[in-house]
Amino acid sequence: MEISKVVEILKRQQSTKILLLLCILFFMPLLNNLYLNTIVISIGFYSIVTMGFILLMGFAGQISLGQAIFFGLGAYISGILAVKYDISPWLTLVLATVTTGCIAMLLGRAIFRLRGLIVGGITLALNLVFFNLVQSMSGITGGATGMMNIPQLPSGGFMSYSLFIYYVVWLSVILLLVFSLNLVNSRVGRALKAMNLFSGGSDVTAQVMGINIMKYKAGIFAVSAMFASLAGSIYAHYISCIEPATFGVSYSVMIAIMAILGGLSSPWGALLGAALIVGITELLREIIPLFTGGTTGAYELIAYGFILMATLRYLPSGMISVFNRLTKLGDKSSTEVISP
Amino acid sequence: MIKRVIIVSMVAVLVLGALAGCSTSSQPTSYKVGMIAAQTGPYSALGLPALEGMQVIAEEINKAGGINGVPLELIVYDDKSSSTETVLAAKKLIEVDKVLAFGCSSATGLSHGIVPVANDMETPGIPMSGTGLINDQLGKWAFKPISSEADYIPLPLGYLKNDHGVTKLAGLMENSGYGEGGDHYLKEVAPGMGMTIVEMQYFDPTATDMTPQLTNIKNSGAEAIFIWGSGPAGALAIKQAREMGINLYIVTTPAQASPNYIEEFGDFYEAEPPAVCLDSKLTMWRQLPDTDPDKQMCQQFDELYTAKYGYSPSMWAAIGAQMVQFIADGIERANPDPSNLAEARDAVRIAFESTENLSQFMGTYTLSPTDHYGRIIPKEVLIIVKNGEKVLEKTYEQLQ
Amino acid sequence: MNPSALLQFLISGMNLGCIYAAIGLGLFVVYSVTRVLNLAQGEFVMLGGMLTVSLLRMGIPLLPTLLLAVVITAFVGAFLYQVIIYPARNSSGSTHVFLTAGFAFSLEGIALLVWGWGDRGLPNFLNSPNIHLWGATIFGQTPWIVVSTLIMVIGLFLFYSRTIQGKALRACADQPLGARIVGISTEKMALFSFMLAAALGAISGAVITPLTMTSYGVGLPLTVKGMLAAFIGGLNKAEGVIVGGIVLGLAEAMSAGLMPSGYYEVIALSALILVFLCRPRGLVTTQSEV
Repeated sequence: MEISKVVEILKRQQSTKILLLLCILFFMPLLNNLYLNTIVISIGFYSIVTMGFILLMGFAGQISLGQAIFFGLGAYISGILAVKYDISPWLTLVLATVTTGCIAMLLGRAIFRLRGLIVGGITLALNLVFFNLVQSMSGITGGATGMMNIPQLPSGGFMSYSLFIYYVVWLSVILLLVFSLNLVNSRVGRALKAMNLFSGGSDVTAQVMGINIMKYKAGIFAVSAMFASLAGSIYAHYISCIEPATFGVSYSVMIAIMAILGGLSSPWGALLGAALIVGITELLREIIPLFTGGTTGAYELIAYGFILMATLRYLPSGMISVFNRLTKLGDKSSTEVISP
Repeated sequence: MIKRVIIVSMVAVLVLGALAGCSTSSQPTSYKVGMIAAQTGPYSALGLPALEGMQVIAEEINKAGGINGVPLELIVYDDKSSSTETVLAAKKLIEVDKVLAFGCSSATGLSHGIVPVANDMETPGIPMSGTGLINDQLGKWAFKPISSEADYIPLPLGYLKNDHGVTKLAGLMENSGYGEGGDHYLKEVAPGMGMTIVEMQYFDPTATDMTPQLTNIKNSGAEAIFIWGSGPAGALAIKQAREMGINLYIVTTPAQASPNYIEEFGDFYEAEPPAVCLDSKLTMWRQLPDTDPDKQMCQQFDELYTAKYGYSPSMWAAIGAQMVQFIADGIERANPDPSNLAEARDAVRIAFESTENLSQFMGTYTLSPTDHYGRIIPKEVLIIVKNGEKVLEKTYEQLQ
Repeated sequence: MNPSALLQFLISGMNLGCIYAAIGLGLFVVYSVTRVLNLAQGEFVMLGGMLTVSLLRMGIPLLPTLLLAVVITAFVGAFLYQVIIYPARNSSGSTHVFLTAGFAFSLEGIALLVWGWGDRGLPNFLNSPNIHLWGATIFGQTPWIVVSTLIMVIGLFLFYSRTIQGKALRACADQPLGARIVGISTEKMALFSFMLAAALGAISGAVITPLTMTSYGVGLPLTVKGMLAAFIGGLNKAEGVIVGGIVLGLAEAMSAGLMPSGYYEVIALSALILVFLCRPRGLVTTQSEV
């Protein structure tokens, strides 16, 4: 009963958008522009991690400033298994994701007895711990110098490695997107929304409805962690050399910014936010030298902050509100959970 | 109304961002060389001076008619002190800007990211990495004719041992890629020179209070401290050590010789025994004996740089400059035809591998297919501070 | 363990602790009135330090320099509230937080433009000499840091409990609707809190620069430390933030001194996380809502 209803909703609302996405993604490589390819791959990675963040925050009301931890865990576990133990890269993806999920489940149990800002504080501190740990354990992780020579994912040699990764990443994005949309509509999803403090629901309401809070909170935390971890593992096999600074607090903050700018009310927000930030960064890189000629770093910082403030000011629910209006399909399967 | 403007510009951003990447242009009328430098973020202190040095050399080359008559075009990107951005920038330089070769003057850990990119996309790349730890992981297309700890640690250690009879050393190391290299090589080189490391302490690059670490060093029986850092913390450590009344010998890495810190803390550098810092011939050329073969080269660069920017070049400027020099030298010998990019890049790579006795600011280099590092003559010097001025204390030649 | 070494670690911890506490205090002032976590607090500290350096170099004597630096920074704080936050006042809390983040980025960029990337230092105020005590050293600027932090704390305490404006501020925090009914303008109070936080930040920035140096990029890492301090102690009470800062400072100094090799940050942070988990509402706060 439930399933057919879900499928029906999906068919009506989301499938058009997903089809559109698939078309764009299919045609992109035909432009044969490796640089564009690289940018879109980058957006793909961020989309996956941000989707996890949105699931956690948008539907469970829990802030996590620690997505970088799981992105990093995915990258390092996968890297270590492949480099030190010669395990096939595809297998390392699975192993890393599962391991990270378990770790996140345990962490979630400990953290989510609490709520509110303090959760943000703990995840922030955990992120710092992770960064320092990775840097210190140089025997295992390569320390601050980084881990090099992580093998590529075996691709069968049909196409260039970049193109292959492009498909791997975006296939993952779409699969995870469908998964997330289903999650939002399911019984579980409604349960999570009931817990969302931001929209007025509260733990009491949820408890009265018979929902086991702890199980769900830790569960969604694990899910969001696994998203990030999968992205991290693929990332490691793509960039082939990783270092701790990539997985610090600034990454987690950037994910949060992408989520907020994209829109917390739907997993689509992840793609929008990621595309926006990456697009803006590249655009600034192109435009600013035309005005200043010479060192651009300071101007890029200023412009970045400015754009952040402007977007938040005029589009407080994120790009998704724009998107919804443009496509006019309306997103009936998810509602505003962060009230503007 | 405003909302509509914002919406339209957002869409424009996305589209333009995509299109921006689509623009392709190939001008066979110049040699394109890419450079990635940190213009923002914590590593901008190394990246910005390096950029300045690069631009001086590029201008000089073009004033003299270019390389084999073809102008040199320098394309520069900011890596924002992020390894992901570094890789993105490298790919853009290779794919969109179609450079013949590129360099990356980021900090140690970040620039390692371009090694796989250079090898994958078959374009010669030069990471500015002063650590020997990756010398054998460069592959076919990455080169690092800069420096390695194994070469330059013997200078301050030799000085301590020969001039001051020091045998017990303590290390105050930065928790970073840079410090890691130092940690590794200090432990490797010191015993061979008859010195024992009695204590190793570590500090965060953003640390502001090193008194706990210095206290431990004070109580360890060490006779000298090797401060290994790349930011203000190292200079602060010198100040705090002297303020604590610790009068052990102090030797440091080049960052602490920056005029910035000497201006702020000169008194502490001079306090007995004076702190000794690694530095480069470039900053100290005025005090080199006239017989020094590198004096003229350093003087020329100093004058050009000062004329353009109004202040003297630092070691980081020298490193940026010599990267461009190295690449230009290779292109000159390769004489490539940029209209066939793959062939041109390979020609440049082969030219790099046959670099012979190239005299630069940080050393003299002879590379080979199996040695992409190639420094045969290190050119670091040691300085102390006297009356607020840097004074040359020792050169490598004097050490032998 | 050598007792004078232990003493040195404690002194270092107190020093750091005061620095972190002062930043946390700025966060507290804004949060308590507006429930906004001001991520630009560290930038106020940076501004205070940089302005002091520039003004002193122009030849202006110390006291007017400090006053000017504080006033200018307070206006920056006012700008942040009036131009950035206030127009978006109907948005959610997280929007406000990220607005302050955007402001922090822009401020940092502007600072880089104006002052360049170099580090700036200052001599100790009134050239205070170092104090040597039982084998340990207290740096000359440390008494200034400790005293100014104390003055800030006591000043705030008196302000909140004894003055009308202070009580009005507290009223806005606890009962915004009630405050409005009584005729208190919550907007004016919010503006004031931002200016106050900026002023506090500027003072700490000026006072720590002789010890730590400052540069365009010190803002964000300081904000992070301040946040940790505030969370440890509990964001609800000023005393909590102070305690949190001192705990953080002590944890860092003690582990740097006592723990071997490069793991000291890990240990300090892990200890903090344990604190978070055991006393989630903070070590000091007693209210039921964070």
